[in-house]
Amino acid sequence: MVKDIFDTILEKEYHQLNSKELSELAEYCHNEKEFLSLKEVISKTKAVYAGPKLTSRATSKENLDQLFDKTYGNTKKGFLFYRNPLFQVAAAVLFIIVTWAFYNYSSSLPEKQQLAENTNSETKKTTNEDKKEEVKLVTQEEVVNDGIKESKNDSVEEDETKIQTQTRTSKAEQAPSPAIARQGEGNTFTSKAEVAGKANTNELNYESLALSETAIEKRTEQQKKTYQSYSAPATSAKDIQVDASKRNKQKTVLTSMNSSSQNNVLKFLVVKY
Amino acid sequence: MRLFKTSYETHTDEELMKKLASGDKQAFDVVYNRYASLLLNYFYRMLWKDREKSEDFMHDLFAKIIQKPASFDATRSFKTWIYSVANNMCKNEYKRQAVRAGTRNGLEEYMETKDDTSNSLQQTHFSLFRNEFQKKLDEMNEKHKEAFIYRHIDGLSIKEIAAILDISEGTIKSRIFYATKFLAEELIQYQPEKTKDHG
Repeated sequence: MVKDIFDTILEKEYHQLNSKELSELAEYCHNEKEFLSLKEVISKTKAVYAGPKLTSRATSKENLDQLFDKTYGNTKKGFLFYRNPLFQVAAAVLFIIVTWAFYNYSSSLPEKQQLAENTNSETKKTTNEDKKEEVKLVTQEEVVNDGIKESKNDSVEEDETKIQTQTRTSKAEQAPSPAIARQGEGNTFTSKAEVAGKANTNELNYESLALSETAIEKRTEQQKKTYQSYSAPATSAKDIQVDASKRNKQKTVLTSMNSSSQNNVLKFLVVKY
Repeated sequence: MRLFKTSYETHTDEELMKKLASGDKQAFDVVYNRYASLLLNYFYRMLWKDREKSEDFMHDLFAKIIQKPASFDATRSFKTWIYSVANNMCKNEYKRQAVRAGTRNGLEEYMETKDDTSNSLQQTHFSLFRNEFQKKLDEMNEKHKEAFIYRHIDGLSIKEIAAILDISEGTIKSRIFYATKFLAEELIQYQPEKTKDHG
């Protein structure tokens, strides 16, 4: 409350009043005695009415509440939290955060689904796997039936032809001697014996057989080299598939090596005995 | 837009009246808590210390606020408006009774002494002064009395009193001064110089 002249009378003494205040009081008090009497009444008035005030009864409030409800209807006294602007802003922020998180999660999914390119680490894995298979294959002494050859797929057959051409073109992959080639073409020892017709047929056959054995050894070595070349690490996605096919080829090469060596042994035994 | 909803306690009286007019019960509760005791004591002083009558007048005033909130002029101060309504109610009662303040119910229950020291003589002196004070206040000119009560008991400013009674501030100041001088002359025997022997 803005202080007025009556506050001045309470707070100041008569000799402390300025000219403006004195002029304002001039109409109501002319001397200090009258000033003091005014001051006494005002201070005692505050003392008289400074005690506890009357308070309204509870019944009065209840009656007014009933009148209010009757006039405006039963209104809930509670706070409608969803009408609070702060709550609405918080809900909007939460919605934005959830949407952003979901978008980031969904955008990251395709990356996970993409097939990773072959790296050295993966090729190393494949080489390790291949080595394991090589060990397995080397230790195998199974007789390969014609059914295994029949189980080849087309890509394997194509690569096999390529491998055969590779073996033929390199120096170490020289074609076997005509004698061996003829032998490899399916001629049996019995047909050789018929052609010879001489006393030293057996010796001739033995010599030819020895020659064939060296050729066979060479061929075996060549096949081993090709087998090892197939175990080279893959460097691309295609190579993964090629590796898989190569493994199959390795099997077939190895089986063919085993079968050819076995046939040669049989031939040797027949000639000798 | 307010992001942080403030408590109703911090709302002004005018804002609360606006919410009350739209059926906000909480706004009414705050207004009631602010002015119920003040108005009850005002009516008690103006209506011859009649507690029952004071309760009824206070209830009637708030009932009028509930039923006719549009009667409050939003351009005015709510405090001055509610006191002006209370003053008009008292004047109407005066006219109805046609009796000036003189009778009491004998139970001045709220007139408790502030000084509760063990000095019984001082308490007796104060009690006597208080009774005489009330008596002289009732004998005072009605216009002077209401201005004096508004200023020194209810604590309203001269500007607010002028708005309530719809008269000039100079007239209010003059009425208060005359009421104070009247009491000073009537209660001169209770002046400190006169009561030195009692203190």
